[in-house]
Amino acid sequence: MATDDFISNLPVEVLATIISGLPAIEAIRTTILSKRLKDGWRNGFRLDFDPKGVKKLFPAPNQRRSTVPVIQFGSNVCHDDGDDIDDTDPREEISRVVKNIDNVLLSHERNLISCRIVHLSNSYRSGDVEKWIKYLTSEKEVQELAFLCDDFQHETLQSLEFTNYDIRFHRPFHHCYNLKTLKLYYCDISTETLEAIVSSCDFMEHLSVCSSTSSLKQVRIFSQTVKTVELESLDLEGIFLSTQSLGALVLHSMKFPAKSLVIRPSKQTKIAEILQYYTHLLTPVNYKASDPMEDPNLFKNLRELSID
Amino acid sequence: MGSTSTKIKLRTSDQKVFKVEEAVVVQSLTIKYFYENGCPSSVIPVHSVSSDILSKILDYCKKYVNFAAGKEDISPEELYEWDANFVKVDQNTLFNLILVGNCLKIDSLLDLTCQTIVNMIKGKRPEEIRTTFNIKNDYTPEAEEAVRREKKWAFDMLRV
Repeated sequence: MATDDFISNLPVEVLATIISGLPAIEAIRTTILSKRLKDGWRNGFRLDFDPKGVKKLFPAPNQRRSTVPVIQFGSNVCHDDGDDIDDTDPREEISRVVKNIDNVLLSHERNLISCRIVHLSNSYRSGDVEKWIKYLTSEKEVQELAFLCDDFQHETLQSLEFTNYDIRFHRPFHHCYNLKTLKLYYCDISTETLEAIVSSCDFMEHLSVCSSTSSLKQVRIFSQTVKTVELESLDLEGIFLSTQSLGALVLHSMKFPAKSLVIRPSKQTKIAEILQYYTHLLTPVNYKASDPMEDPNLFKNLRELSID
Repeated sequence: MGSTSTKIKLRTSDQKVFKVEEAVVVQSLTIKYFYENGCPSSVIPVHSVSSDILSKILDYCKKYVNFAAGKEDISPEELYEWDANFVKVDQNTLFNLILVGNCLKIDSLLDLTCQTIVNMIKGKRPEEIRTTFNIKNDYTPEAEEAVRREKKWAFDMLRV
Protein backbone atom coordinates (compact mmCIF):
# COMPACT_ATOMS: atom_id res chain seq x y z
CA MET A 1 0.00 0.00 0.00
CA ALA A 2 1.16 3.49 -0.72
CA THR A 3 2.10 6.01 1.88
CA ASP A 4 1.88 8.93 -0.51
CA ASP A 5 -0.79 9.75 -3.02
CA PHE A 6 1.36 9.56 -6.14
CA ILE A 7 -1.49 9.19 -8.58
CA SER A 8 -3.14 12.52 -7.78
CA ASN A 9 0.14 14.32 -8.36
CA LEU A 10 0.83 12.95 -11.79
CA PRO A 11 1.01 15.38 -14.70
CA VAL A 12 -2.34 15.73 -16.49
CA GLU A 13 -1.04 13.98 -19.60
CA VAL A 14 0.19 10.95 -17.70
CA LEU A 15 -3.05 10.70 -15.75
CA ALA A 16 -4.91 10.89 -19.06
CA THR A 17 -2.79 8.03 -20.40
CA ILE A 18 -3.65 5.87 -17.41
CA ILE A 19 -7.35 6.67 -17.51
CA SER A 20 -7.36 6.01 -21.27
CA GLY A 21 -6.33 2.44 -20.50
CA LEU A 22 -9.53 1.78 -18.58
CA PRO A 23 -12.87 0.79 -20.06
CA ALA A 24 -15.05 3.93 -20.33
CA ILE A 25 -17.27 2.82 -17.46
CA GLU A 26 -14.34 2.39 -15.08
CA ALA A 27 -12.77 5.63 -16.35
CA ILE A 28 -15.94 7.49 -15.42
CA ARG A 29 -16.05 5.81 -12.03
CA THR A 30 -12.73 7.50 -11.17
CA THR A 31 -14.70 10.75 -10.77
CA ILE A 32 -15.74 9.54 -7.34
CA LEU A 33 -12.19 9.03 -6.03
CA SER A 34 -11.38 12.63 -5.18
CA LYS A 35 -11.94 16.20 -6.38
CA ARG A 36 -8.53 16.23 -8.00
CA LEU A 37 -9.39 13.16 -10.05
CA LYS A 38 -12.96 14.21 -10.78
CA ASP A 39 -12.31 15.50 -14.29
CA GLY A 40 -9.37 13.31 -15.23
CA TRP A 41 -11.45 11.10 -17.49
CA ARG A 42 -12.43 14.09 -19.63
CA ASN A 43 -8.85 14.23 -20.92
CA GLY A 44 -8.63 10.58 -21.87
CA PHE A 45 -7.94 9.90 -25.52
CA ARG A 46 -9.62 6.51 -25.71
CA LEU A 47 -13.18 5.56 -24.89
CA ASP A 48 -14.25 1.95 -24.92
CA PHE A 49 -17.96 1.65 -24.27
CA ASP A 50 -18.16 -2.05 -23.57
CA PRO A 51 -19.76 -3.29 -20.36
CA LYS A 52 -18.30 -6.75 -20.92
CA GLY A 53 -15.54 -7.53 -18.47
CA VAL A 54 -16.29 -4.49 -16.34
CA LYS A 55 -16.64 -5.58 -12.78
CA LYS A 56 -20.00 -4.84 -11.35
CA LEU A 57 -20.36 -2.96 -8.14
CA PHE A 58 -22.52 -5.50 -6.46
CA PRO A 59 -24.59 -4.53 -3.49
CA ALA A 60 -23.64 -6.11 -0.19
CA PRO A 61 -24.57 -9.82 -0.15
CA ASN A 62 -27.57 -9.42 2.14
CA GLN A 63 -29.02 -6.84 -0.22
CA ARG A 64 -28.42 -8.66 -3.43
CA ARG A 65 -31.88 -9.89 -3.92
CA SER A 66 -33.65 -6.70 -3.01
CA THR A 67 -35.59 -5.10 -5.82
CA VAL A 68 -34.11 -1.66 -5.24
CA PRO A 69 -30.52 -1.16 -6.38
CA VAL A 70 -28.34 -0.36 -3.41
CA ILE A 71 -24.78 0.80 -3.76
CA GLN A 72 -22.41 0.65 -0.86
CA PHE A 73 -19.44 2.91 -0.81
CA GLY A 74 -18.38 2.35 2.76
CA SER A 75 -14.93 0.87 3.07
CA ASN A 76 -16.16 -2.16 4.93
CA VAL A 77 -18.39 -3.61 2.29
CA CYS A 78 -17.59 -7.24 1.97
CA HIS A 79 -18.49 -9.17 -1.09
CA ASP A 80 -17.04 -12.53 -1.75
CA ASP A 81 -16.00 -12.87 -5.34
CA GLY A 82 -16.54 -16.59 -5.30
CA ASP A 83 -20.24 -15.90 -5.44
CA ASP A 84 -20.06 -13.83 -8.59
CA ILE A 85 -22.54 -15.76 -10.64
CA ASP A 86 -23.55 -13.18 -13.14
CA ASP A 87 -27.13 -13.61 -14.23
CA THR A 88 -27.72 -10.11 -15.54
CA ASP A 89 -28.80 -9.80 -19.13
CA PRO A 90 -25.84 -8.37 -21.06
CA ARG A 91 -28.27 -6.64 -23.40
CA GLU A 92 -29.66 -4.66 -20.52
CA GLU A 93 -26.20 -3.46 -19.58
CA ILE A 94 -25.29 -2.60 -23.15
CA SER A 95 -28.44 -0.55 -23.53
CA ARG A 96 -27.78 1.26 -20.25
CA VAL A 97 -24.31 2.24 -21.43
CA VAL A 98 -25.55 3.18 -24.90
CA LYS A 99 -28.15 5.53 -23.44
CA ASN A 100 -25.38 7.53 -21.79
CA ILE A 101 -22.91 7.72 -24.66
CA ASP A 102 -24.22 11.09 -25.88
CA ASN A 103 -23.79 12.65 -22.46
CA VAL A 104 -20.32 11.21 -22.02
CA LEU A 105 -19.19 12.45 -25.42
CA LEU A 106 -20.57 15.92 -24.74
CA SER A 107 -18.82 16.30 -21.41
CA HIS A 108 -15.59 14.74 -22.63
CA GLU A 109 -13.15 17.50 -23.43
CA ARG A 110 -10.51 16.53 -25.90
CA ASN A 111 -10.04 14.78 -29.22
CA LEU A 112 -10.04 11.03 -29.25
CA ILE A 113 -7.54 8.67 -30.77
CA SER A 114 -9.90 5.78 -30.57
CA CYS A 115 -13.43 4.98 -29.63
CA ARG A 116 -15.21 1.65 -29.49
CA ILE A 117 -18.93 1.27 -29.00
CA VAL A 118 -20.81 -1.91 -28.27
CA HIS A 119 -24.47 -1.44 -29.04
CA LEU A 120 -27.67 -3.27 -29.85
CA SER A 121 -29.35 -3.36 -33.23
CA ASN A 122 -31.89 -0.70 -32.21
CA SER A 123 -29.04 1.82 -32.33
CA TYR A 124 -28.83 1.17 -36.04
CA ARG A 125 -32.49 1.69 -36.63
CA SER A 126 -32.69 4.83 -34.54
CA GLY A 127 -29.77 6.31 -36.46
CA ASP A 128 -27.61 6.56 -33.33
CA VAL A 129 -24.69 4.72 -34.90
CA GLU A 130 -24.64 7.15 -37.81
CA LYS A 131 -24.94 10.09 -35.41
CA TRP A 132 -22.00 8.83 -33.31
CA ILE A 133 -19.85 8.34 -36.37
CA LYS A 134 -20.59 11.88 -37.54
CA TYR A 135 -19.97 13.39 -34.12
CA LEU A 136 -16.82 11.40 -33.39
CA THR A 137 -15.22 12.13 -36.73
CA SER A 138 -16.17 15.80 -36.97
CA GLU A 139 -16.02 16.94 -33.32
CA LYS A 140 -13.52 14.51 -31.83
CA GLU A 141 -11.38 13.93 -34.91
CA VAL A 142 -11.25 10.29 -33.93
CA GLN A 143 -8.62 8.16 -35.68
CA GLU A 144 -9.83 4.66 -34.87
CA LEU A 145 -13.46 3.76 -34.60
CA ALA A 146 -14.92 0.35 -33.80
CA PHE A 147 -18.50 -0.78 -33.46
CA LEU A 148 -19.82 -4.08 -32.29
CA CYS A 149 -23.46 -4.85 -32.66
CA ASP A 150 -23.89 -7.48 -29.99
CA ASP A 151 -27.48 -8.20 -30.68
CA PHE A 152 -28.88 -10.32 -33.42
CA GLN A 153 -31.23 -12.07 -31.10
CA HIS A 154 -34.29 -10.97 -32.98
CA GLU A 155 -36.13 -14.12 -33.65
CA THR A 156 -37.85 -12.45 -36.57
CA LEU A 157 -34.58 -11.78 -38.36
CA GLN A 158 -34.47 -13.98 -41.44
CA SER A 159 -32.23 -12.21 -43.86
CA LEU A 160 -29.08 -10.24 -43.22
CA GLU A 161 -26.89 -8.46 -45.71
CA PHE A 162 -23.59 -6.68 -45.06
CA THR A 163 -21.61 -4.63 -47.54
CA ASN A 164 -18.17 -3.22 -46.79
CA TYR A 165 -17.92 -4.55 -43.23
CA ASP A 166 -15.06 -5.96 -41.30
CA ILE A 167 -16.57 -8.98 -39.59
CA ARG A 168 -14.18 -10.22 -36.99
CA PHE A 169 -16.30 -12.18 -34.57
CA HIS A 170 -18.94 -14.82 -34.91
CA ARG A 171 -20.30 -14.20 -31.42
CA PRO A 172 -22.91 -11.59 -32.50
CA PHE A 173 -24.46 -14.18 -34.80
CA HIS A 174 -24.94 -16.79 -32.14
CA HIS A 175 -28.52 -15.90 -31.46
CA CYS A 176 -29.72 -15.56 -35.01
CA TYR A 177 -32.00 -18.49 -34.53
CA ASN A 178 -34.12 -17.93 -37.58
CA LEU A 179 -31.61 -16.46 -39.95
CA LYS A 180 -32.14 -18.05 -43.35
CA THR A 181 -30.22 -15.78 -45.66
CA LEU A 182 -26.82 -14.26 -45.15
CA LYS A 183 -25.19 -12.11 -47.82
CA LEU A 184 -21.72 -10.69 -47.40
CA TYR A 185 -20.47 -8.28 -50.02
CA TYR A 186 -17.00 -6.78 -49.89
CA CYS A 187 -16.61 -7.91 -46.30
CA ASP A 188 -13.39 -8.65 -44.54
CA ILE A 189 -13.97 -12.01 -42.90
CA SER A 190 -11.70 -14.93 -42.07
CA THR A 191 -12.25 -18.55 -43.04
CA GLU A 192 -12.85 -19.50 -39.42
CA THR A 193 -15.30 -16.71 -38.68
CA LEU A 194 -17.40 -17.51 -41.75
CA GLU A 195 -17.41 -21.19 -40.85
CA ALA A 196 -18.42 -20.43 -37.27
CA ILE A 197 -21.22 -18.09 -38.32
CA VAL A 198 -22.74 -20.68 -40.66
CA SER A 199 -22.42 -23.40 -38.03
CA SER A 200 -24.16 -21.26 -35.44
CA CYS A 201 -27.17 -20.47 -37.61
CA ASP A 202 -29.23 -23.63 -37.48
CA PHE A 203 -31.69 -22.64 -40.17
CA MET A 204 -29.48 -20.98 -42.72
CA GLU A 205 -30.53 -21.82 -46.24
CA HIS A 206 -28.81 -19.32 -48.44
CA LEU A 207 -25.28 -17.99 -48.25
CA SER A 208 -23.74 -15.46 -50.60
CA VAL A 209 -20.18 -14.29 -50.33
CA CYS A 210 -18.93 -11.79 -52.85
CA SER A 211 -15.57 -10.05 -53.19
CA SER A 212 -14.15 -10.72 -49.78
CA THR A 213 -10.62 -9.65 -48.94
CA SER A 214 -7.64 -11.93 -48.86
CA SER A 215 -8.27 -12.98 -45.25
CA LEU A 216 -10.88 -15.38 -46.62
CA LYS A 217 -8.62 -18.22 -47.70
CA GLN A 218 -11.20 -20.96 -47.86
CA VAL A 219 -14.95 -21.36 -47.77
CA ARG A 220 -15.78 -24.19 -45.40
CA ILE A 221 -19.40 -24.92 -44.70
CA PHE A 222 -20.76 -27.56 -42.38
CA SER A 223 -24.52 -27.41 -42.28
CA GLN A 224 -27.62 -29.54 -42.45
CA THR A 225 -29.75 -26.84 -43.94
CA VAL A 226 -27.83 -24.72 -46.43
CA LYS A 227 -29.44 -25.15 -49.83
CA THR A 228 -27.86 -22.43 -51.90
CA VAL A 229 -24.28 -21.30 -51.89
CA GLU A 230 -23.33 -18.42 -54.08
CA LEU A 231 -19.69 -17.44 -54.34
CA GLU A 232 -18.52 -14.61 -56.50
CA SER A 233 -15.20 -12.93 -57.24
CA LEU A 234 -13.22 -14.78 -54.62
CA ASP A 235 -9.64 -15.87 -54.82
CA LEU A 236 -9.55 -18.97 -52.63
CA GLU A 237 -7.29 -21.82 -51.68
CA GLY A 238 -10.20 -24.18 -51.43
CA ILE A 239 -13.93 -24.77 -51.06
CA PHE A 240 -15.27 -27.43 -48.74
CA LEU A 241 -19.02 -27.86 -48.58
CA SER A 242 -20.54 -30.40 -46.27
CA THR A 243 -24.24 -29.86 -46.44
CA GLN A 244 -27.00 -32.42 -46.78
CA SER A 245 -29.38 -30.09 -48.52
CA LEU A 246 -27.21 -28.43 -51.13
CA GLY A 247 -29.40 -27.72 -54.12
CA ALA A 248 -27.60 -24.93 -55.92
CA LEU A 249 -24.02 -23.93 -56.13
CA VAL A 250 -23.25 -20.80 -58.06
CA LEU A 251 -19.66 -19.94 -58.78
CA HIS A 252 -19.06 -16.68 -60.56
CA SER A 253 -15.64 -15.28 -61.48
CA MET A 254 -13.96 -17.58 -59.01
CA LYS A 255 -10.34 -18.48 -58.72
CA PHE A 256 -9.31 -21.60 -56.83
CA PRO A 257 -7.32 -24.78 -57.48
CA ALA A 258 -9.58 -27.40 -59.04
CA LYS A 259 -8.42 -30.12 -56.66
CA SER A 260 -9.61 -28.22 -53.68
CA LEU A 261 -13.31 -28.14 -54.46
CA VAL A 262 -14.77 -30.76 -52.17
CA ILE A 263 -18.48 -31.37 -51.76
CA ARG A 264 -19.79 -33.86 -49.21
CA PRO A 265 -21.58 -36.17 -48.65
CA SER A 266 -20.43 -38.46 -51.39
CA LYS A 267 -23.59 -38.25 -53.45
CA GLN A 268 -22.93 -34.57 -53.78
CA THR A 269 -19.31 -35.17 -54.54
CA LYS A 270 -20.39 -36.21 -57.97
CA ILE A 271 -21.64 -32.72 -58.55
CA ALA A 272 -18.11 -31.55 -58.13
CA GLU A 273 -16.93 -34.21 -60.49
CA ILE A 274 -19.51 -33.23 -63.04
CA LEU A 275 -18.49 -29.64 -62.66
CA GLN A 276 -14.98 -30.66 -63.47
CA TYR A 277 -15.95 -32.99 -66.25
CA TYR A 278 -18.41 -30.89 -68.15
CA THR A 279 -17.11 -27.43 -67.79
CA HIS A 280 -13.50 -28.22 -68.56
CA LEU A 281 -12.77 -25.24 -66.43
CA LEU A 282 -11.53 -27.47 -63.71
CA THR A 283 -9.05 -30.20 -64.27
CA PRO A 284 -10.48 -33.65 -63.57
CA VAL A 285 -8.49 -35.23 -60.80
CA ASN A 286 -8.79 -38.95 -60.08
CA TYR A 287 -12.02 -38.99 -62.01
CA LYS A 288 -13.48 -42.47 -61.55
CA ALA A 289 -17.22 -42.48 -62.25
CA SER A 290 -17.77 -44.17 -65.55
CA ASP A 291 -20.83 -42.14 -66.31
CA PRO A 292 -22.08 -39.68 -63.76
CA MET A 293 -25.51 -39.58 -65.38
CA GLU A 294 -26.04 -43.19 -64.32
CA ASP A 295 -27.15 -42.05 -60.94
CA PRO A 296 -30.73 -40.84 -61.28
CA ASN A 297 -30.69 -39.27 -57.81
CA LEU A 298 -27.77 -37.08 -58.57
CA PHE A 299 -29.70 -33.98 -59.46
CA LYS A 300 -32.58 -34.56 -57.14
CA ASN A 301 -31.86 -31.41 -55.23
CA LEU A 302 -29.91 -29.56 -57.83
CA ARG A 303 -32.03 -26.92 -59.46
CA GLU A 304 -29.47 -24.36 -60.35
CA LEU A 305 -25.91 -24.72 -61.34
CA SER A 306 -23.80 -22.19 -63.04
CA ILE A 307 -20.19 -21.63 -63.61
CA ASP A 308 -18.81 -18.48 -65.01
CA MET B 1 26.02 1.09 -36.68
CA GLY B 2 29.65 2.13 -36.47
CA SER B 3 28.72 4.54 -33.72
CA THR B 4 27.58 1.87 -31.24
CA SER B 5 30.69 2.44 -29.19
CA THR B 6 30.01 6.16 -28.86
CA LYS B 7 29.31 6.96 -25.23
CA ILE B 8 27.11 9.72 -23.99
CA LYS B 9 27.59 11.13 -20.49
CA LEU B 10 24.60 11.79 -18.27
CA ARG B 11 24.68 13.52 -14.89
CA THR B 12 21.97 12.66 -12.38
CA SER B 13 20.40 14.76 -9.64
CA ASP B 14 22.83 13.25 -7.12
CA GLN B 15 25.76 14.31 -9.32
CA LYS B 16 26.73 10.87 -10.55
CA VAL B 17 27.91 10.62 -14.14
CA PHE B 18 26.82 7.68 -16.28
CA LYS B 19 28.58 6.80 -19.51
CA VAL B 20 26.06 5.14 -21.75
CA GLU B 21 26.09 3.83 -25.29
CA GLU B 22 24.49 6.20 -27.73
CA ALA B 23 22.06 3.56 -29.07
CA VAL B 24 20.76 2.95 -25.56
CA VAL B 25 20.36 6.52 -24.47
CA VAL B 26 18.66 7.79 -27.63
CA GLN B 27 15.68 5.63 -26.67
CA SER B 28 14.85 8.79 -24.77
CA LEU B 29 13.59 11.30 -27.29
CA THR B 30 14.40 14.13 -24.90
CA ILE B 31 18.05 13.11 -24.56
CA LYS B 32 18.24 12.36 -28.26
CA TYR B 33 17.15 15.93 -28.98
CA PHE B 34 19.71 17.33 -26.52
CA TYR B 35 22.46 15.17 -27.93
CA GLU B 36 21.76 16.04 -31.54
CA ASN B 37 21.31 19.72 -30.92
CA GLY B 38 23.90 20.31 -28.25
CA CYS B 39 27.57 19.67 -27.89
CA PRO B 40 28.08 15.89 -28.20
CA SER B 41 31.07 15.72 -25.92
CA SER B 42 29.53 17.57 -23.01
CA VAL B 43 27.71 15.94 -20.11
CA ILE B 44 23.94 16.01 -20.41
CA PRO B 45 22.32 16.87 -17.09
CA VAL B 46 19.25 14.89 -16.13
CA HIS B 47 18.37 16.98 -13.10
CA SER B 48 15.15 15.33 -12.19
CA VAL B 49 16.50 11.77 -12.18
CA SER B 50 18.28 10.07 -9.32
CA SER B 51 21.08 7.61 -10.02
CA ASP B 52 19.14 4.53 -8.85
CA ILE B 53 16.17 5.36 -11.08
CA LEU B 54 18.43 6.18 -14.00
CA SER B 55 20.29 2.90 -13.72
CA LYS B 56 17.00 1.03 -13.68
CA ILE B 57 15.81 2.94 -16.73
CA LEU B 58 19.08 2.29 -18.53
CA ASP B 59 18.66 -1.42 -17.78
CA TYR B 60 15.30 -1.22 -19.49
CA CYS B 61 16.63 0.67 -22.52
CA LYS B 62 19.60 -1.70 -22.87
CA LYS B 63 17.33 -4.73 -22.79
CA TYR B 64 15.21 -3.33 -25.60
CA VAL B 65 18.09 -2.13 -27.74
CA ASN B 66 19.77 -5.52 -27.42
CA PHE B 67 16.54 -7.35 -28.09
CA ALA B 68 15.89 -5.28 -31.21
CA ALA B 69 19.47 -5.92 -32.37
CA GLY B 70 19.06 -9.65 -31.80
CA LYS B 71 21.67 -9.68 -29.06
CA GLU B 72 19.29 -10.95 -26.40
CA ASP B 73 18.68 -14.64 -26.78
CA ILE B 74 15.13 -14.52 -25.50
CA SER B 75 11.68 -15.00 -26.99
CA PRO B 76 9.09 -12.21 -27.03
CA GLU B 77 7.30 -14.13 -24.23
CA GLU B 78 10.43 -14.05 -22.10
CA LEU B 79 10.79 -10.35 -22.77
CA TYR B 80 7.19 -9.93 -21.68
CA GLU B 81 8.02 -11.77 -18.49
CA TRP B 82 11.09 -9.61 -18.02
CA ASP B 83 8.82 -6.55 -18.34
CA ALA B 84 6.46 -7.98 -15.74
CA ASN B 85 9.34 -8.42 -13.31
CA PHE B 86 10.76 -5.01 -14.13
CA VAL B 87 7.60 -3.30 -12.84
CA LYS B 88 7.39 -5.41 -9.69
CA VAL B 89 8.60 -2.52 -7.57
CA ASP B 90 7.20 -0.39 -4.77
CA GLN B 91 4.87 2.43 -5.74
CA ASN B 92 7.47 5.08 -5.05
CA THR B 93 9.79 3.54 -7.66
CA LEU B 94 6.94 2.81 -10.08
CA PHE B 95 5.70 6.40 -10.06
CA ASN B 96 9.25 7.67 -10.37
CA LEU B 97 9.70 5.49 -13.43
CA ILE B 98 6.50 6.97 -14.86
CA LEU B 99 7.56 10.54 -14.21
CA VAL B 100 11.01 10.01 -15.67
CA GLY B 101 9.65 8.02 -18.61
CA ASN B 102 7.33 10.94 -19.29
CA CYS B 103 10.00 13.58 -18.87
CA LEU B 104 12.65 11.77 -20.93
CA LYS B 105 10.02 10.68 -23.46
CA ILE B 106 10.71 6.95 -23.43
CA ASP B 107 7.36 5.89 -24.83
CA SER B 108 7.59 2.14 -24.39
CA LEU B 109 8.62 2.52 -20.75
CA LEU B 110 5.79 4.98 -20.16
CA ASP B 111 3.32 2.56 -21.76
CA LEU B 112 4.56 -0.32 -19.62
CA THR B 113 4.45 1.56 -16.33
CA CYS B 114 1.10 3.25 -17.03
CA GLN B 115 -0.38 -0.11 -17.99
CA THR B 116 0.82 -1.44 -14.65
CA ILE B 117 -1.17 1.26 -12.90
CA VAL B 118 -4.18 0.58 -15.13
CA ASN B 119 -4.06 -3.08 -14.06
CA MET B 120 -3.94 -2.00 -10.44
CA ILE B 121 -7.12 0.05 -10.92
CA LYS B 122 -9.09 -2.28 -13.19
CA GLY B 123 -11.88 -4.21 -11.55
CA LYS B 124 -11.53 -2.48 -8.21
CA ARG B 125 -14.24 -0.72 -6.30
CA PRO B 126 -13.65 2.99 -5.71
CA GLU B 127 -12.82 2.48 -2.04
CA GLU B 128 -10.29 -0.21 -2.94
CA ILE B 129 -8.62 2.13 -5.44
CA ARG B 130 -8.41 4.83 -2.78
CA THR B 131 -6.73 2.42 -0.39
CA THR B 132 -4.31 1.06 -2.99
CA PHE B 133 -3.07 4.51 -3.97
CA ASN B 134 -3.67 6.30 -0.71
CA ILE B 135 -6.04 8.74 -2.37
CA LYS B 136 -7.65 11.04 0.14
CA ASN B 137 -11.37 11.32 -0.40
CA ASP B 138 -11.86 15.06 -0.12
CA TYR B 139 -15.54 15.00 -1.03
CA THR B 140 -18.12 15.70 1.61
CA PRO B 141 -20.57 12.80 1.82
CA GLU B 142 -23.17 15.01 0.13
CA ALA B 143 -20.83 15.98 -2.69
CA GLU B 144 -19.79 12.36 -3.20
CA GLU B 145 -23.41 11.33 -3.34
CA ALA B 146 -24.09 14.06 -5.92
CA VAL B 147 -21.22 12.91 -8.14
CA ARG B 148 -22.40 9.35 -7.88
CA ARG B 149 -25.95 10.32 -8.75
CA GLU B 150 -24.78 12.29 -11.75
CA LYS B 151 -22.98 9.23 -13.10
CA LYS B 152 -25.46 6.77 -11.74
CA TRP B 153 -25.41 4.56 -14.83
CA ALA B 154 -21.70 3.84 -14.52
CA PHE B 155 -21.97 2.86 -10.87
CA ASP B 156 -25.28 1.15 -11.23
CA MET B 157 -23.97 -1.86 -13.07
CA LEU B 158 -25.28 -4.13 -10.43
CA ARG B 159 -27.54 -7.03 -10.05
CA VAL B 160 -30.96 -6.24 -8.67
